[in-house]
Amino acid sequence: MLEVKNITKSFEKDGQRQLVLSDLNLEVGAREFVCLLGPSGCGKSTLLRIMAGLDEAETGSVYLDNRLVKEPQPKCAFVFQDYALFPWKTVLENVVYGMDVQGMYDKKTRLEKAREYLKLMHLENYENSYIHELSGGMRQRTAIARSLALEPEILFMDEPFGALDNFTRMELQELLLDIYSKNKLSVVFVTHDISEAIYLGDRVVVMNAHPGTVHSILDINKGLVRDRTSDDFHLYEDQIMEAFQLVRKQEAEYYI
Amino acid sequence: MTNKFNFGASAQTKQIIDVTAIFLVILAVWEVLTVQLEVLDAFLFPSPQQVVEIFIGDLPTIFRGLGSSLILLSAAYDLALATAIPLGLFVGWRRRLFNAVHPISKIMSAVPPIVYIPYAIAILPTFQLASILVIFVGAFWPIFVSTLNATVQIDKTLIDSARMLRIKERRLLFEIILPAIMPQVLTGCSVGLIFSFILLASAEMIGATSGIGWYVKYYSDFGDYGKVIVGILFIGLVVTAVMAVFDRVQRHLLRWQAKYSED
Repeated sequence: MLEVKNITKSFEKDGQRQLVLSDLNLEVGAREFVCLLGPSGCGKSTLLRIMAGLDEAETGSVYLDNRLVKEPQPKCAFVFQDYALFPWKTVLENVVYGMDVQGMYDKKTRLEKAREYLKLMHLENYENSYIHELSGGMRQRTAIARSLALEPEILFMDEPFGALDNFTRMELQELLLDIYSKNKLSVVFVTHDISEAIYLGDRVVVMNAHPGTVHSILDINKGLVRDRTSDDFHLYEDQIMEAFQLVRKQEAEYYI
Repeated sequence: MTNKFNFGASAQTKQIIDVTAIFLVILAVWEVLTVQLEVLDAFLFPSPQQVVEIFIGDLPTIFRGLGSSLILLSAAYDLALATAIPLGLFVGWRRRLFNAVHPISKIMSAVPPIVYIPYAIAILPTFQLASILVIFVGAFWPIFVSTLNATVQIDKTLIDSARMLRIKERRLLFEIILPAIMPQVLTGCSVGLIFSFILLASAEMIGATSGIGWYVKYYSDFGDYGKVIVGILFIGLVVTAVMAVFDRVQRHLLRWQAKYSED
């Protein structure tokens, strides 16, 4: 279980300290898909980076199975919005490299495993391609394959489909849900897309901005939202919209 | 290999024809001015035919010189590669070290290395060592500075991506940062190589007893300008050949980039 306790974080901007996250608490259970949803500037990506151990919080702490997280932890993988693949490596080499660094398996098994994950991501015909030869969707599929190859217990995803077109995004959402249902892992998924959060998450953490806090947490009944056009789906959407409108009202009062 | 200015095979053929045409025109003008019209002083301007004859006659001397020149050049340049790249990576990666070293390297790299030649000859026992030192200095700075700056400016997401793997620092430097900044490093290496040639020729003209730079200086002291021209043309050929090899290596190392992937 991943626990976030009383996290505070601020950045220096134009000589002024700006509070990005204020006294934030959150829990992510084992085998849970949690979406962090909020407008840009709500600190959701910062929160994710702190949870993954890439950034440090100013106050408060993150615990993974009761161990304090101060740096990236084993059995965790991160999928970045701009893929962060190694362009000098081929698709296959990208997937193999992480396993190599972590000393997983022998060379032959690493190759077999990598090919397996590439097949899962429908990339089996591109294993010798370089990254610049791939489309955005294929790059992100490579990045996901690379992360899965590490056999993570937690997969952190920072707006992974944000730069993709709608069709590719939906295709990858399906693929991700499929993988999630077949593997024993938790996913922490940052997005600013309301329907994406509802469609993917077991829980949607709705965040306020300036400073980032948790507004509310919505439990999604996954049985109801397999159809994006269903009434239940829209019901969830309405609830979240309302939450954000509430945020806007509060802010308006605050500024007056 | 395709070039964006080439539109099919005919463009390449055209280029070959054009280059040959320019070469022939230069040769013809040279021949006319020296042999046909005799407007140029025959002592200072030998005819094309004389130059070719000297070149063929002097081939053994020229190639022996080339050998000693290339030994100096490769010793110094390889030493520069082996030190400048790891140092640039290491210093660029350590913020505090970078802040300390950056201003110093700016001053040091601004000194034209040619001014070290007399001093290097004075402090080192042999001319070979002195030339190696000077060529090394000339090649070192462009390679070091380009590696340093590229390391500092590296895409932070790549580093994060590697950090998630809990990678060791050594592997991070040589397996992630170095290949990521290879394009900039190679630009530095190519500048360093050109500097090396300039310094090689300069050093040889000052103190050598063989070599391609020595050849030009030695025969100009005797007023043998036929050999001087042969020497100059030969240096041009050698530099072109070495740069062509460098280009091949660069294409191989950067084959993952879109612009080199056609190979």
